[in-house]
Amino acid sequence: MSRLTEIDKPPKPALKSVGPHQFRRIGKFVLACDDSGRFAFLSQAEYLGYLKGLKRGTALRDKLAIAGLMSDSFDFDEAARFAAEKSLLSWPGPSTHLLKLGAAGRAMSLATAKRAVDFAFSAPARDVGLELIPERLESEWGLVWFIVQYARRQGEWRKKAVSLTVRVEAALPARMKEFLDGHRVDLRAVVEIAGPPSVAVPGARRVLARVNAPAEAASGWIDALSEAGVESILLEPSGSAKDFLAFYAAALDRMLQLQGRRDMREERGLGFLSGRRWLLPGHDVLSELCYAPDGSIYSGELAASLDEEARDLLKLGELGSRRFDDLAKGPAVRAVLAASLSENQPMCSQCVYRPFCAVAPSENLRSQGTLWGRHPSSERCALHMALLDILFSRLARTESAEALRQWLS
Amino acid sequence: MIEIEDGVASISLPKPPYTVESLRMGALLLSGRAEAFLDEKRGAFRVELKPAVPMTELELRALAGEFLNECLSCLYRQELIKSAPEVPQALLAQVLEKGFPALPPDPLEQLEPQVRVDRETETEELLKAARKLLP
Ligand code: SF4
Repeated sequence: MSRLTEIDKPPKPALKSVGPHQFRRIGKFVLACDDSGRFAFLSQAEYLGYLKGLKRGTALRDKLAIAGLMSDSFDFDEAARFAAEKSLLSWPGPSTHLLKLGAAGRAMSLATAKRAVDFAFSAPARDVGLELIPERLESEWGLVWFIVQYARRQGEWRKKAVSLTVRVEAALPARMKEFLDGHRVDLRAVVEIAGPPSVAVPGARRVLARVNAPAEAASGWIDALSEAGVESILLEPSGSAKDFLAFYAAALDRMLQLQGRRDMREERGLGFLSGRRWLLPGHDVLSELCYAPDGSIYSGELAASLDEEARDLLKLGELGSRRFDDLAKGPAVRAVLAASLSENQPMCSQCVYRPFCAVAPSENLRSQGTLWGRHPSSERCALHMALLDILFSRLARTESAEALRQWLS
Repeated sequence: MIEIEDGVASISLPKPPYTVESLRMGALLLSGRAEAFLDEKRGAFRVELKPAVPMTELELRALAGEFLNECLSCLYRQELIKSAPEVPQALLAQVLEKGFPALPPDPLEQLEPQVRVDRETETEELLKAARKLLP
């Protein structure tokens, strides 16, 4: 059964006025959205009236014209501006460079670490984000120490804004914390959300949370993390999808309630709402590149952790021999970008969320053995659709819509 | 359309709609799990799927089903790409055409070789100090 929704007995659309759009029923609303992601919420009766054709001068018609959904009063300039902002033409290149400092007991060499930083700085993006992923921080501390200082100097030399993050699973010894604070390095704590709320890594402003807890636990966790200063969280399922979605909805509601007092944003939700696919966390090439300890460049963190055969498909080259401007010439980058265009995906092309969503090709490869994926049976697509339903149902409510819009400001 | 004999699944597929490209995508999906052999006769393809480890008839049929699913997905995708709005394709083509231009070398280093030397020396010192922190 398709996850796309239907409307009972829709009238034949009045093509003179009804603009090209997709729709979806969410609760008692119908979400109508154009190709570039401009949207409006309507009641079912309003939507049927829209399809039949609306008289000029009605408030609904004006609202839909502003959302670009009326073809007879279409603002082409505004539509072009909006579409260009969200299209690949505005893509600044991958903005997060993930350095895996160790894997399977093998640490990156200092020479490779330097090459990885040089490679990240040769990218044209104005901002460079480096996230260091140690396997055993204590023995890889020299790498962190070097990368942080070298990247800061490179930022000054090349006049780029640099954001540095170290991923950690436990509280840091004081000397490390002091060094990282002194060099304005953020901590990203990996947290298992399972038992009662706890803050394992004091001082972390970002959290990668693997959720295996019921919805009732959500408020307590969000309160505890936001009180500890966490500003940004990425929620990932680690148990059942149903429980995760209930947790996500409750956590989102709590974040929106706290907005203005203790702001916290969910990174995937923010990526969806931005309509810029390169802001979706973990999206191969569009949002990230990953460097393995042996100097291999992969399309993303997940790609670097797949089995050897799949990994080879998403390997983009080697640090030292591959230059940044050669990347687009490689078949892997071309395949990844083509597979990321949801316009080319049969189910996405009919889905109202197409302007906001894309499943990372490495995720398709992991779960379905193909870069393109088969979305009708894809668990990731099902998850994205459910998450987008949750987000858009909050956008349909005035109180939460304002708080969500502030996420984007 | 799927015949199972001696642990091998044989599938006959009419030439339109199936294309070599769609069969290739199907074979790619099975890589590591089975070998795919292709024979092409007028108007039809014949594909043999030989699993890497012996499979029961049921498992082999499921494998062949997976292969066919991927072939169909690929065909549908190609149809869709043909009829999809041209703008996203054109944008992608433009992005790939342009490549990912790297940042040009720092003009200060180019104009003033001493700057490059100083930076290299500073980096060397950092590396030396970092080496002492490694086990
Ligand atoms: S992947 Fe996203 S855009 Fe595509 S069908 Fe699923 S929810 Fe819709």
